[in-house]
Amino acid sequence: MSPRCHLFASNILAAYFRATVEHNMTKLHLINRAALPLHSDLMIAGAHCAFATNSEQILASISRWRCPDRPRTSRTFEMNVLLDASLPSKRDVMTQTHFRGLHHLVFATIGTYELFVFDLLRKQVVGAVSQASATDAAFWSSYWLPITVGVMGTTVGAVPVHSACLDRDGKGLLVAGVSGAGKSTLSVALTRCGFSLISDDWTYLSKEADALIAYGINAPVKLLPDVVQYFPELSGRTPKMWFNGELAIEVEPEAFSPNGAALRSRPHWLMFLERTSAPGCDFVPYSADDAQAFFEGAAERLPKQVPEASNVRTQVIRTLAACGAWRVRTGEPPQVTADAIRQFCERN
Amino acid sequence: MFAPEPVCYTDPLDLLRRFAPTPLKAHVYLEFANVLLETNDLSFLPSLSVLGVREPSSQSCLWKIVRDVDARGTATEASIVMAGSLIVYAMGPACLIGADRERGEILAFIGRDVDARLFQESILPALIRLTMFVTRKQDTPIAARSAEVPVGGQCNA
Repeated sequence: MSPRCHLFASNILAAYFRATVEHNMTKLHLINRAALPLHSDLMIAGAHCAFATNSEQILASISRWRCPDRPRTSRTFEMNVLLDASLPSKRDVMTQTHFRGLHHLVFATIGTYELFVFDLLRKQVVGAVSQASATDAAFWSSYWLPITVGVMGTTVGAVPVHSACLDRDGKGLLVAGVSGAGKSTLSVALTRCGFSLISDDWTYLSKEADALIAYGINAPVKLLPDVVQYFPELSGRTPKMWFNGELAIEVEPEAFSPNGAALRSRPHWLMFLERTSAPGCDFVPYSADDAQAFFEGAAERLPKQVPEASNVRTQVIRTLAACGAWRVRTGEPPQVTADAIRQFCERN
Repeated sequence: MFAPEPVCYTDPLDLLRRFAPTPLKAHVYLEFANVLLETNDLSFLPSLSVLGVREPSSQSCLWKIVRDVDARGTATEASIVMAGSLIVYAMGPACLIGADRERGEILAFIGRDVDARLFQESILPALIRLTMFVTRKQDTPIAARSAEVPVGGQCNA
């Protein structure tokens, strides 16, 4: 591969840094936001991403997140992405993506050459990608922007909680539960009962004028392949391997909401899903303390370098846990459980 | 070769290994900086002896180096991102180094299969150069700084 460099800062700066690494150096990317010519405002799960790049292709790939005007929100982070067309395009996002974090920095490598750093203190994401990533809209919408807001969200007040979220007449239903409990499948069933899907796995909560607002990510829904036994209309889709090693099929969120996917709601009901072998579907009150413990236990630990993010997350989770919460024990198929939840919500 | 000890990262959740314990501490005196090293593995330290011990410098820097028991494989070609006061130097999962000039920190994950030789030949030079980046005063003229550092062969400008 021919050595190259992209200069978006000064040549003098490049010359200095050239001198700092003597060997094995193949790709150096100097990324200066002011020199990236293309800018766009994105709204992702209630957070504003001030995006900059040198690539029209990247802008096209992220167009679904674009908002026409600069949003009035303090929940903002910067993202500066450089396309280096000389980077090899051979990479497997599912098997060759690696994340690590220390203090305020989170590193991500994709394949050998693509590299991102998430700076939680400066609320900034910087990265260099290949042509393959630049043109891969699914990469951005299914993986990278959801991951980015998952990493950065808490630092700007968009707190991720491990829960599905659906909306009915402006009231939000959050469905939590351990992995494998069936949240996503139940969410699909709930969309057949008059609910609109906001999120099937991670929901982002923000405080707006003292109200808690739940946002979805508008990303494709991941469903285990056996979902087709309940929803035959989803058959024929090819399962893909995901980061966690699970095989899952991917369905656009619009498929579950005839009126279009809802993007936000106000949390009103909080349900913790438990599968049992016994028939029936029971609703048992769940304490706010237990609800708070569940969400805090499911959240990634935050470093002490960003104490305000930890405080914001604790406050948001505490507010959420104060919603009416129930444990839903069910041994019924998802459609039956969903209908029981619909009836319960109509009464409460 | 590093012998890994099993560590649970799921309770509490720490998928990024942020909280991998680094109980071992050492001081490394470079010509231009005093380094406080925090790590969970000192097996690569013998290679640091080549640096020698100098008079204490007025500059200081933290090296937090985590031996990552879950990162397998050897180092790949290097990829570097430089933005503002940050430099990230990666050689695949086997070597991830972030240098933050404003905070005087170098944070690194070194994969389990990286041996002392690879560390000394490939990673240590990068750590030292990044330490220069971190500890040099920002008001020093850049041209003067570049003249003090030998230029590498394969860099790409």
